Order: sequence, then C-alpha cells, then structure tokens
Amino acid sequence: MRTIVLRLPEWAGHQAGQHLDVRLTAEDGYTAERSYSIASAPGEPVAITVERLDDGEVSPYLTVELRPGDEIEVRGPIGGYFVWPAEEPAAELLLVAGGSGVVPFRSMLRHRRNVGSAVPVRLLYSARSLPDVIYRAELDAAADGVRVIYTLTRRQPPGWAGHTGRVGPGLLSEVAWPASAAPLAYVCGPTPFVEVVAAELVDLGYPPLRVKTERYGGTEGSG
Amino acid sequence: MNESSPRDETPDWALDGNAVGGVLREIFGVEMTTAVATCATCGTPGLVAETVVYLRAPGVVVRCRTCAAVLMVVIRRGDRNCLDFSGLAALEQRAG
Amino acid sequence: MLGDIGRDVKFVLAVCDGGYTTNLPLADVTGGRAWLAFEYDGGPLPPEHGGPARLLVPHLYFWKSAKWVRGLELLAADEPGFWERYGYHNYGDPWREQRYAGD
Repeated sequence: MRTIVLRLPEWAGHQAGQHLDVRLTAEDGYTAERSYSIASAPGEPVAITVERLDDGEVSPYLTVELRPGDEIEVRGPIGGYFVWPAEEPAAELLLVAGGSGVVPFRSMLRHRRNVGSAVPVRLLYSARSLPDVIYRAELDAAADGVRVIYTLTRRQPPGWAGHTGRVGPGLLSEVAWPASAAPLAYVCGPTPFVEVVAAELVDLGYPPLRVKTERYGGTEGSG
Repeated sequence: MNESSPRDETPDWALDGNAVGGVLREIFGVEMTTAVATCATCGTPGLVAETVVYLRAPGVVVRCRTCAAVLMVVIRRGDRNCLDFSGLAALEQRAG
Repeated sequence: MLGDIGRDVKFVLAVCDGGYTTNLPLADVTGGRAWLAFEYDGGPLPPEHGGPARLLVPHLYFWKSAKWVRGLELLAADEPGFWERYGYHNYGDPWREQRYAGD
C-alpha cells in the first residue's frame, strides 16, 4: 500500500467519499485507467492510497515507480452518490469496509473531525490480518464518537480478543446500529463483500435507500 | 474480454456505476452517478451508481441490476467517446 | 471438435452469456490455432476465467477469446459480433494493430 499526495493546482475541492481517475499512457498510445478513492478530507492535500496488485495495469506503476515530482494524468473529483456531506442530518453513521474499501471512510472520518461533527460513527473494518489494516494508528486514535471494530479473517495476532471471520449476519447484528435509529450506511470493498453486507443490512431492516455501496471488484484485500 | 450477465450472482469483477462516474461526466458534462436510469427492457428505474458495470471488455458495459439487460455501452476510440444508450428508456438528473 | 463440417462453412460465431458474440474465420479456430478451454489447473474452468467454457485464440486480440461460450454457430457468411459492431476490428490481428475497424 502506498499513500500518494498529489499537487493539483486547479483542484476545485472534493467531498468525502469521492474518487479520482488516474490514466497512464504508454509510449505506444495504449492507455490504462483506474479509479481511486480519495483518502484525504475536503480541504486537505489530495491523497490516494493505492494497493499494489500483481496483475494490475496501473497500481504497480503508482506503488513502485512513481517518484516525487513525477506527473500523472488525473480526472476528478468524481461521484455524487457515495459521498458523506457532514451536514447530512443522519442519526448514526455505519461504515463497513472490506480491505482497501476503508479508503473513502478515512476521508469521511477526517472530514467529520475537521468540521467538529458529533455524528456517532461505527466503522466495521474487515481485513485479512492486522498488518493488512491500513491507517491503523489513525484509526486506533479515532475521535470521540467514532468506534472502530476490526474483524481479522485469516490471521490474528496472539491473544487477539477481537472478531474473526467474515462479516456475516451475526457480526452485523451485533455491531450495526439498530435500524430503528434511522442510520445511514456506507459499504465499500470487493464486489462480493459489498453485496453480501448490503443484503444483510437490508435484512436487518435498513431501507435500501439508506445503504450506499461502492464496489471495487475482485476479491483482493477483504479476506 | 467480454463479461457475463449477472445470472444468479454477480461475477466478482463486476463493479457498479460509481466506476463510470468519470466517463459519464466527460460525456454529459455533469455528475451522473446520482441520475436515475430506467431500463428499456424491464422498465425498472435505478440509480446509475447502482447499475452493474464491467470495465474489462474492450469497452464499458453498464447493465440493469434487476434484469441484467445492457443499458449503455461506452467505447473510447482515440479522443472520441461513443455512447450507445439504446438500452435506456429514460435518464433523469437534476437540472442546473 | 470441428472435425466433420460442411464445406460451405467459412466462419464461426461464438455465442456467449449476456448476449455477447464474437466472429472469427473458421481457418483461425482450426488447425491448432485456437482452443475451447474448460479446464484449468486440474479442475473445471472457474467463472472468473471464463468457465465453464471459453475460447482461447492467442493469435488475435483478447476480445476474440470469448468467455462463457454457450455455443459456436457455423456460418457460410461472416457476421460481426458484439464488439465488432461497435467498431472494433472485424479480424483483430495484434501484429497489424487491428484494434478498431479501419485500422
């Protein structure tokens, strides 16, 4: 994983949860584009966190070859659906992340802190192991009113007292805000993870309109 | 590569309409993931953000989450975007 | 597999899940130039690799190696497939960089 800060002189600002598109052009004109969620909050220098995928077309370049001062082609910010404007009159906020799906939630949590929001948040973060958890120090120091719950699906450190195993109905019913509180939920991560979790939240009584989804494709990162 | 239809389960590399936000913004000039797309095949309306999207083909295919019919195909050739939206009955987005 | 076919068959149309099709000259899928794959790593070909059955046509561009093949139509006359109708090259020879129609 690599967090890359971009200097974008014409950036008009972004909302928490939005993404940008990176396009790489080879010498023969072949282009490859990928979308990356913005990891920084509105008002902060624009940053993306990129996971290196072995068979990736863009991530190997961004994580290994890109050097400070290099230029890359970027389009954005993009997205008006998977955004959390802190002014949203939500009761509670439920964020469910699979692997690298936590990236847009980092933006949301930083934004919440920066604007002094008191909206109660629960972040349920599924990762394969503790070393796979991104932003660990930052999440462990989360602000008041933010509760971070990890579930480690493949390997746990000795003495781990937290959750293990995939996010299923049991874990969700234990961790998620009750539907009666009219919470707003965001689910982000690999496609199968998002679809299972979103369906389970609806089963728990969350109205589908109150469950926002962003699928990353593949199974990488969620365990 | 082509992609399959969702059938009973969405293949694990299918994305959603968030992934075409950039190209649709290029084509339409405004944010489109919050637009409502009505499927010409089954008539179900849904948010563009919640459509089923495949990016790995030579072009981009956007499918109805309810019936899997193709809603839109986007091809990029050089500096031109080509959008086939014959699978849409309607597309609605807030004005201004 | 395409052993015993009529002499007027010149083209093949692969018909796949989701309404996708791709067309190829018969000569490009016979004589060991192409495979219909249904196994991988000792087991059935998984869906993410195009299973249960897919075409492998290594000498042409990737969209000709159709995944999730349901059938092969044997045709006397060529018929452009899904991507070909959208302007991708009808034949698709990467050595001649035939990515788009007219290339």
